[in-house]
Amino acid sequence: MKKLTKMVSVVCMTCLLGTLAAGCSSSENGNTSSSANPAAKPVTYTMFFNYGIPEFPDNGGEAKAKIIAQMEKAGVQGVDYKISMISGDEYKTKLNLLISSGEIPDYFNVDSTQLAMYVDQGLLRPLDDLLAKAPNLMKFIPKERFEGVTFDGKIYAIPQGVRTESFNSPNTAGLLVRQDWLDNLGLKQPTTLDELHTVLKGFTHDDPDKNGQDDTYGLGGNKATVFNTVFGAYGIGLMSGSIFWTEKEGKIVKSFVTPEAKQALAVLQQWYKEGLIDPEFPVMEPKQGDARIINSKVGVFEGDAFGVNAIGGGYYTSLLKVLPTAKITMINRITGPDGKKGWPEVNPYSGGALRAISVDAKDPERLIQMLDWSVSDDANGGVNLLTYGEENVDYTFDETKNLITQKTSYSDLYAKGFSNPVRFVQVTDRRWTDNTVRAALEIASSEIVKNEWWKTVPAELDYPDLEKKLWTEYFVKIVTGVWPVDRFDEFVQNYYQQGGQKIEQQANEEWQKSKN
Amino acid sequence: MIRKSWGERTFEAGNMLLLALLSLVTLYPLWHEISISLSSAAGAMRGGLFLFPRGFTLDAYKSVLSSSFIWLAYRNSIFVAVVGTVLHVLFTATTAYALNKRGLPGVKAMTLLLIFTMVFSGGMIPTYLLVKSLGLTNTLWALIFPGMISAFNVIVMQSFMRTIPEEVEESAMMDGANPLRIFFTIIMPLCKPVIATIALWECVGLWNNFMQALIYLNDKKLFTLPLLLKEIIAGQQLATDSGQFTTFAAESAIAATVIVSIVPILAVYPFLQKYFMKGTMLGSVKS
Amino acid sequence: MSHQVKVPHGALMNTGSKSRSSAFMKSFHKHKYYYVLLLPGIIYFILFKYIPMGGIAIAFQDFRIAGNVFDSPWAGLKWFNILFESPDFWTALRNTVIISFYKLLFNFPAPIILALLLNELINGAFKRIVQTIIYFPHFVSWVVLGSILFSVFSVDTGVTKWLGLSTSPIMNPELFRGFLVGSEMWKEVGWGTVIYLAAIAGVNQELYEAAKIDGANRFKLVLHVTLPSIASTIVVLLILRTGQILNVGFDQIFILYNPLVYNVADVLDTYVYRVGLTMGRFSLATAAGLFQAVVGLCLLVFTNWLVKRMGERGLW
Repeated sequence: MKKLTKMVSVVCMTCLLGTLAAGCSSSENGNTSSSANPAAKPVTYTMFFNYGIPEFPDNGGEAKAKIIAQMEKAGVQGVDYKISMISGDEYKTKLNLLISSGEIPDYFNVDSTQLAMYVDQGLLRPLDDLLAKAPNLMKFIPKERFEGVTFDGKIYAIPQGVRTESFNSPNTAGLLVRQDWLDNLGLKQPTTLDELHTVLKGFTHDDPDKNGQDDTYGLGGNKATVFNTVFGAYGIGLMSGSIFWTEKEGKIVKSFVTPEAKQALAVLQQWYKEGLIDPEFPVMEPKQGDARIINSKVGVFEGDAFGVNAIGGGYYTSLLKVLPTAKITMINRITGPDGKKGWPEVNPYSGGALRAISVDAKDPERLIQMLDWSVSDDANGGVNLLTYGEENVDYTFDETKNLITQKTSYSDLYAKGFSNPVRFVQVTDRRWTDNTVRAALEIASSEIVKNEWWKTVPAELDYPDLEKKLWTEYFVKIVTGVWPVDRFDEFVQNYYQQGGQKIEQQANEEWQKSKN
Repeated sequence: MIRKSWGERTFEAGNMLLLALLSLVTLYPLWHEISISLSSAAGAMRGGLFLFPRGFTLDAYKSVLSSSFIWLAYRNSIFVAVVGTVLHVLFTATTAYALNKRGLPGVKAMTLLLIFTMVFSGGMIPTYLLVKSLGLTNTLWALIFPGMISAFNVIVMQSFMRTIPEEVEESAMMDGANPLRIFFTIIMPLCKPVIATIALWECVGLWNNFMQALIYLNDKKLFTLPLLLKEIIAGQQLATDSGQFTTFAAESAIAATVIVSIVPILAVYPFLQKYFMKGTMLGSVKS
Repeated sequence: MSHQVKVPHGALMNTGSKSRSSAFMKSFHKHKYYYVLLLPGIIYFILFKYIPMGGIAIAFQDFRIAGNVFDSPWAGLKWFNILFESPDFWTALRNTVIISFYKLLFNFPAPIILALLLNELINGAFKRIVQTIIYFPHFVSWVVLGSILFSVFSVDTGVTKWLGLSTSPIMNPELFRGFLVGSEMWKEVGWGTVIYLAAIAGVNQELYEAAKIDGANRFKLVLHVTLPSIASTIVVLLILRTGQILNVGFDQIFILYNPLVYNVADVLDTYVYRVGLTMGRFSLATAAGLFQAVVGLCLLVFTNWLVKRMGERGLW
């Protein structure tokens, strides 16, 4: 009985919202939508995203009417949305509970582990037929990204898209240096591993901040740091999310078993022993690593191209408050002894970027129409409205510079009901960046080392501790000199014995298949 | 007044010194949080130890307290804490009192079944499905009923009740009072210290209950303080991560929320504290 | 109990059972008020504790998140085999037992001693202030305390140098377990005094008066009056504590551990978190939880037996 009343009320609500939306649009848009397309009964899509945005109103805010109106102008009729959000690990907990009690949302975030699990349990709708009708999604989402979300030949999730400008590359990381310290010591920006070594020695021992105290380190880091620069200089991409597969003699192996990895570890251990690396990096949370940067304790560190943005609110902004003469720049990739250099590519389908449609979603054709509209650049397309709000009210767009200037703050945009929550499909869009950041992004997207194989093979689920624990333990203990570099061989042996053999075999089988 | 011996005085001075030191050490985390919550973005992000706020600003508090849902969240949390604590104490006490009757048929089996629930639990998903089928999801009762009695507290209360001299109860029986009457008019008043303890535990537990609020509540109007504060923190972190300029750091927001949620508990404590003082029992036994 | 009331009526019922049942009815009648008091507890525990316990079945299934718990295919002891065959599981178990034992040894008595010391304070205002302050760390999460501890013991501050260490104890496998014990004591010792202070408040004052007349000094009063009076509370809490022997505090260790101390710090909870929960393997996590519960129950039963043999009153 209770269920019935609930259902009736839901149906009523849906009808009501539908008529409201139709009413709105008809007043704006002489040609009434409901009469033009009587078949299109209004549908409310429930959406659940992994975000912490407390400002976003439960009912979608003032933006919703504008969004629906523009959608109807573009020919997407009778669609409404209800978005709820929870951030972090709790998102997964809540999503699992919703699914287990049969309240699965129509459209929601998944990460790659969840994706595999839900596909296996038949919870997601295959999207191939729908995507065929979505030209804009196909235009903005790079083809290779679909590979990672394909199971048994069918696509099960919508990966993150990328706008066509070069500064939208997903690869944003690189090596950041305190330019003012280089200038103080009369050093050039390092380009090779040897030059970097010299710079690190100078930064550690020669009082680069001129405060008369021996209180600085060359290379900073934190728990999550893998020192990609050094591994890249030996020609391998170590990891980004998971350890990379690298091609060796016609087959693929995990890059952490290669001799190059050993060479890189040897270099890092030497630097650590010479006191050039912040000795507490293995126990520092990222924010504690940032504190070292802000306190001018470290001069070289891995970071994001946005880190060179002085007004971004990150560590650079805080550093300038403490020391107005400081300057952070991103330097070109460091070349190793054999002329190699590079940086591991970002997992194109990681984190919050994947979104899936429930197998129970009503009228999925209309949902995909809406998603397609949401990334469209056309006159009535959704991308600018959803991302930045209303033109000239919330943002201005300088077409010659291709620069978007936000006038409304993010929290106000959220409160109105715009921006991230309603960017139904995420498409990387950095038209708001200035030239300094764009230059750094240029560097960060260069010399990218590819991961030969992105998909998780079944054996990896059975032996999850190989990367999370076995490797991190050897990595940290070798770098910090607790163990000699030669124990790397023991690591390789352990890895293969404790399941690595099986993982490698399975991955190679699939990799060979994919090449044919 | 007997004059204190030299040894006794040394002990007293040493004891005071020791406890004062301990207070200093345990005070630091709160002091740290207060300082960070009042620091500017740059000040808070410099990390390390805080003796004073760096770059004083109230922006973190302004942001936390400006959420249109904060007062509603306070109200919801107070409702859950007060109603939940009252029900918890009452039913824990009734269960403990009845289970303490050794002659009661079935009491040993029930005690064992009670202890069993402390070690084994069905886990989150089955409990969620149960609460949902009872129609409690998205109500504040979902935070109260599933934890209404705890086996641990029943046992703690039982052990306290055993210290009450049996004559007290027997003489009341003689006067013709039934067990319900004895329970409410004699046992409960004698149990004030342990009731205060369990009330404090439970009140704090309910006040800080994040996980259940997360899984059972959907409507923002029903959000309790920990859930809302968590969302505010997440919003601040998202802002920092996506490179937006803010006048305070995510750490300051976290610290401000710690302070904001700790203050009401500190306000409650003095009312309970008198029950932890020596001599409360004596008075009530005599009367 | 209710099922005993439902004695079948009819031909089979002989006089013996009739008299038994009427004796029972009499006993029930005599105790009816106690059953009234018990009723909410019985309903609560059946509804909210025993019905969801069906979820333990997940440990023996290949659990699927959608649909009824019992729709998932059965897996037998698969997950237990995976656990018991992994060498990391045994390392984690060993670490769990060691850390838990240290915590029991040091952190169980600490609040008792502190409560006794607090009780000896003469100055009421000072006592109240101390009592309030020492609760504070309990209200602060391990995430925050973790960053405070990191800062305090960082080489920068000089605390490590003062202690004669070259690196932070967080990075030192030999000191890490001690660090866990110490930091937990710092966080919880004050809060732990609450129950003992309540127990001390319940001690009959006449006992003190009598002992004073016999010429007992303060130390003897504590030893011969206070401690025996709160012994039953201590014993009960000790028994309950042993039931949790394999639950060693996930948050604290998860926040503080790092690759340098994995071999001494990886415990069951962190192991299960990595290989079970983050991989979406609920069945594995449930199986591990069941293992912890069974071990806990065995120890609880054993301690209770031991306590009773030593002449104290146990839990049952």
